[in-house]
Amino acid sequence: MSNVVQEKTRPAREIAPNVDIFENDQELLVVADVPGLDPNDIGVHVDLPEFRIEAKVQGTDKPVVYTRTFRVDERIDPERVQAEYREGVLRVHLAKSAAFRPRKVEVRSS
Amino acid sequence: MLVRYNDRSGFPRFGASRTFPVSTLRRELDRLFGDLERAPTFGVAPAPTVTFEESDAALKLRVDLPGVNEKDVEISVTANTLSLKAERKIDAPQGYTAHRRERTAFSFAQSYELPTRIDPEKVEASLKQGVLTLTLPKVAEAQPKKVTVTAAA
Repeated sequence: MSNVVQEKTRPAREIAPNVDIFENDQELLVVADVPGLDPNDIGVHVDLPEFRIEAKVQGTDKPVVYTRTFRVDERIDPERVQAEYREGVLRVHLAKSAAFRPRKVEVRSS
Repeated sequence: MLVRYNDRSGFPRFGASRTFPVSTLRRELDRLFGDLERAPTFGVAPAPTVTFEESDAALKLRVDLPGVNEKDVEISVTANTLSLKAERKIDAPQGYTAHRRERTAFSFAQSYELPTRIDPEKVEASLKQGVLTLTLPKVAEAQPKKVTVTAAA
């Protein structure tokens, strides 16, 4: 009865993936090198002021967890975050709230 | 195991050779400084992670190549060597300012001497979600055979 609970998990190796961060008027763009993932295993969490990428590589001998956390400011709209995954590269678009996007002001001549 | 025969990086191990330690030391120092003179910058050249597995039937190689297109991967094999080349280009998106640039472009070339003979005609390679998987089936003679022990009468 000694092995009622058997552990199958093994500690995963944690990797902080390399990222590029870009900004324009509309959004922040975070690009991360996270090869070998199933798109369903990628977690992009926005919990202001924290922004976190977390993903687990499945199906290899040694489990690998990619994780990276950033502080972003209140200009980001948490409802409008989009991510795409292609060729092992994750691109997360963090749109800025309307109030913080530059608006062109028309100058009227009287 | 897998031997990288063109790997010249890394700090030399002085204790590796027991014969002629002084000449070994000089040779290693020459090599070390020769490399430094050649390299324009300090810092580690980005090299993809390569993992290697061996089973009874095949050798398997896994290379992390995020952001690399299959057109930029070149593989050539013989019965006992493997050459890999991969190139990654990084282009910044238009109209953005960069806050952080950690992802670098690289040009990776590596040759390996394989520990067993393989069948070059049956080598398979695929690039999926930034991971290159290479399967190199062993020739029949290199695969282990089970020997049955018969009891003598």
